[in-house]
Order: sequence, then structure tokens, then C-alpha cells
Amino acid sequence: MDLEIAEPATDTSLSRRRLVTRVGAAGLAGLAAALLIDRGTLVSAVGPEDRPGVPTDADNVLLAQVMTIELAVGELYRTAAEGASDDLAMVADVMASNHRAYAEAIAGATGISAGAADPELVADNLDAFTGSTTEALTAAHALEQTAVATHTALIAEYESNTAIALTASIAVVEARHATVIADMLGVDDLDVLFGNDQSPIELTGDDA
Amino acid sequence: MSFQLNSATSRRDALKIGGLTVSLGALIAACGDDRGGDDAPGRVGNAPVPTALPDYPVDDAVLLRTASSLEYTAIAVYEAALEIDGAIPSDLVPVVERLIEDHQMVADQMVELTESAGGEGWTCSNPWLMDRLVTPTIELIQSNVVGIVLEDTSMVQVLGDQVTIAPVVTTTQGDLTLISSTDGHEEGDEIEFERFEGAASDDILAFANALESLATASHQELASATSIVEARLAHLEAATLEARHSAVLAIAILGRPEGYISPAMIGEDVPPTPRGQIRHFAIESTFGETSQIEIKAGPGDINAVRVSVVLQTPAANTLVYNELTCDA
Repeated sequence: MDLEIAEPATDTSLSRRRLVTRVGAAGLAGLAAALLIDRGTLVSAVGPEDRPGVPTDADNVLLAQVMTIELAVGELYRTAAEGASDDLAMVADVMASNHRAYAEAIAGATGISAGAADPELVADNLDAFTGSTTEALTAAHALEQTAVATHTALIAEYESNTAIALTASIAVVEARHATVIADMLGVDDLDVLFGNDQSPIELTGDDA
Repeated sequence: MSFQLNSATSRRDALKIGGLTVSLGALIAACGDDRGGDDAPGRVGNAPVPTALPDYPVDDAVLLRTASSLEYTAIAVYEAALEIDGAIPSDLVPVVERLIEDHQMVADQMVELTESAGGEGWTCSNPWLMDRLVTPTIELIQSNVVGIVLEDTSMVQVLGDQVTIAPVVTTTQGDLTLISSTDGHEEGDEIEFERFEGAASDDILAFANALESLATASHQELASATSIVEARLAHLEAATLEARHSAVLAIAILGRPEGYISPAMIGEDVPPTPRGQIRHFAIESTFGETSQIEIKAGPGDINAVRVSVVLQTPAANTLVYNELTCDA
């Protein structure tokens, strides 16, 4: 295989602007970037045998942000479950537990304490999650899709095997969450059930 | 002392000589320089020398070829299912057609990435999976229920029940329509019945759901295995897409809300369906799992035992090595 092997990134001091730019660019490219491949420009990082096993400092910066997002989504589901009907409460409980587990898994992988949920994300969605069933499900669908888009954008950025494997294992279940919620909303449009038009969350810096 | 050829050796002498021989042998062996010996497993009898398996390298192109082979395998299954009368319920035909489109899109993407990685794109199904999994499973699903004629040749054992041979026999699982003739049988003869209404369709959908989960798990693993960043991204995109496929199929199979979340996630049991099929849900675990996926396929045997089909993510025997060609 004749590929240019890039050195692993050693500069872990990502500036806020650079972080936003990187993640934002990956997100804007989104699905289209994955589908439209410019031949001959493949970027080769390193294979799993040569990557660090545990998250690098650069990974930790990103994962710490993701952890606050997962905590926020979990908290919103927990709030929604409190006033929901039995079926909806069960679904919300399971999804809350899953998102909490994602945050804990990231905390375990990085050694960063699972601290506070992203306050902005909670504030922006609290009314919808405590509103009608339709409002809650619509907001939940958008958040799950956003989470999937965010993980997908970030997986290209990670340097360690743990960050990559953990992100992939989270994203596939969040995609299932989104599909279930869409079905609960009565959606039968296959573009919605199978697609994702949400953009990734723009991470706000490295001081989480 | 004169040497006496026929002198009797005492028991004490025999023990002394034996002990001395063993001790000297051990001492000599311990002092030797080269005590390695052959590492190969011992061989007994006169058997031909085994041929060493070729050591084909596994590079990024192989992983991508394997990924496209999985997509083409899924397409082959769906196309075969659409050809089987009644296998896909009419309301799910548009969904299946969309699934084929999606798998073709992912396959094209994997082929393009393969070529960009310096490999030759793989544009056909996975030969190992087709031979060992897909073809036998589709045959099982399309097979009839078989019963065995008993000593009393007016009776047959079928699906765990002993019933009188008739154009329609009633079992504990439901009524079966006889395909074979009703008379002229001898003890031990096999006679065939049609499967229950909708049973083949149930199996096809269960198989399709399992294949989507397999594709999800495979892309999830490949995202970690590849060294190409674009491939990592593409594998995760494919994994999430196929996870959504699986979720939609699970809901179509089990209904709503039953198909949403596995009861196991809230500590409850997950019994099989009344026809013995393993239930698979839209959400079955907290994290994406890459362990084997099991379903049942085909009718039960004379004791009502159904065949288990196990799907596993690509390993050494399912990888599409660069040395393989589609027309081989």
C-alpha cells in the first residue's frame, strides 16, 4: 500500500478557535464528505497497533466536552421520564441510563471526573423535554441526531484506540435511539428514519 | 573376580543399575547445549505432511474490500427475499428497496476508498458468507416442515406432536397442510407439510435484521481497525446507517412499542416468539456490541427444534484478501 504515513499529532494544545474550526469543518462536511472522496488524497494516520491505547491529551480535550453533552442529554431524559406515561417513561429511563453510561465510560477512559452537564444544552432543551410528548420526542430526536453527528465528526480527530472504539460503540446505539424516537413520533419518511440532517455540536473550547 | 555369564543378578543390583542409568541420563540431558527440539506438534501414523496455509497480508484495502463484500451480501439477500413469494410483506417492499439503495451507496463508497487505498475494489458478495451462511439459511427458510411416519403408519411425528396423517394436521403450534400423499407410507418415511402462514416471511425478516446488525457491528469494528482517516469516518457513517436499518426492521418485526427496547435492558427476561424465533429489538444494549448474533431459521424438526444460525463479524476466513477475485 502506497500511502503517506502522517506522524501522530503531538501538539495537544488545541486552541478554542482551532478546535471549533476542526470540528465545525468536519461537521459541515458531514455525510457528503464521507461520500465524495477525492481519490489520491486519503489521509493515512496510524493503524491500531501503532496508535496509543489510552486517550491522548488531545483526545481528552474533546472527550471532556462530549462527556458534558452526554450528561446533559441524560439529565433531560431523566427530567422527561418523571412526568411521562409508562411506555414513554420506560424509553426515557433507558435512554437516560444509556447517556449517563456514555459519560461514565468516557470518565473511566480519560480519568476525567464526570462533572456537570452542559448547562447551555440543558437550558436550551428543558422546556421541550418538560412540554408535551410530541415536543419532548421532537427535541429528543434532534438531540440524538446531533449527538450522532458530533461523534461522527470527532472520530476522525481522535488519536487513541480507546477514543475511537468507544465513540463508535456509542454512536451506533444513539442512531438506534434516534430511529426509535422518530418511530414514536409516527415518522414514516425513510429519509428521516435512516438519515441525519443535524450538524455536530461545535465544541466551545479546551477548558472543560 | 571371574566374570560369570550366568550369574544371577540380585534385586538390589537391578535397582542400583537402574537408578544409576536414569540419574546419568538426566545429568547428560541437563548439560546439553541444544535441548530445543522440534516445535511442531507430534504426528502419529503415516499421514501426508500438511500444507502450510498462505500468509496473506491484511491491509486497509482488505478491510475495505471486506466491507464492500458485506454490503453486496446484504443486497444479494434482499434481492433473493424479494424473489421469494410472500417473503417480504407488501408494506415493507419500499423499505427493502431503500435498504438495497443504501447498501449499494455504502458499497460504492467502500469500493472507491479501496481503490484510493491502492487496492482493487470488491464489487460482489462475500464468498465465504454466501456459501456458509446466506445460501444455507435461505434454503432452510424455504424448506418444508418434515414429519416421520410412525410404526402405526397412519400416524406421523411432526413438530414434536404425534398426529394422524391427514390433508391438514393439527399440532400444538397450529394447523399444517400436507404436501405429500396421505397414504402408502411405511414406518420411517419422511412426509412434508407446508410451513405455517407467514413463517418464511418471519424468518427472512429476522435474517435481514440480523444481517443489518452484523453490518453495523462489522463497520463499528472496521472503524477501529483501519489506518485511513476517511475510511474510519466512512465506516462509522455506515455503522450508524445500518444500525438505523436494523432498528426499523426490529420495529417492523415485533411491532410498537414491543420492538423498541429489549426487556433485558430493564432486567426482564426475553422469551422467544411462539414459533421459537429469538427476539431482536431496536435497542438491545447500551453500547454497540460486536458479539455474535443468533437467529433461528427454517421449520422445527420432528421434535420442534429449530436450527440456529450464528452471524459473526469478519475474521480470518471471511476477509476478502487482495489475492481474491470476484470471478474466482
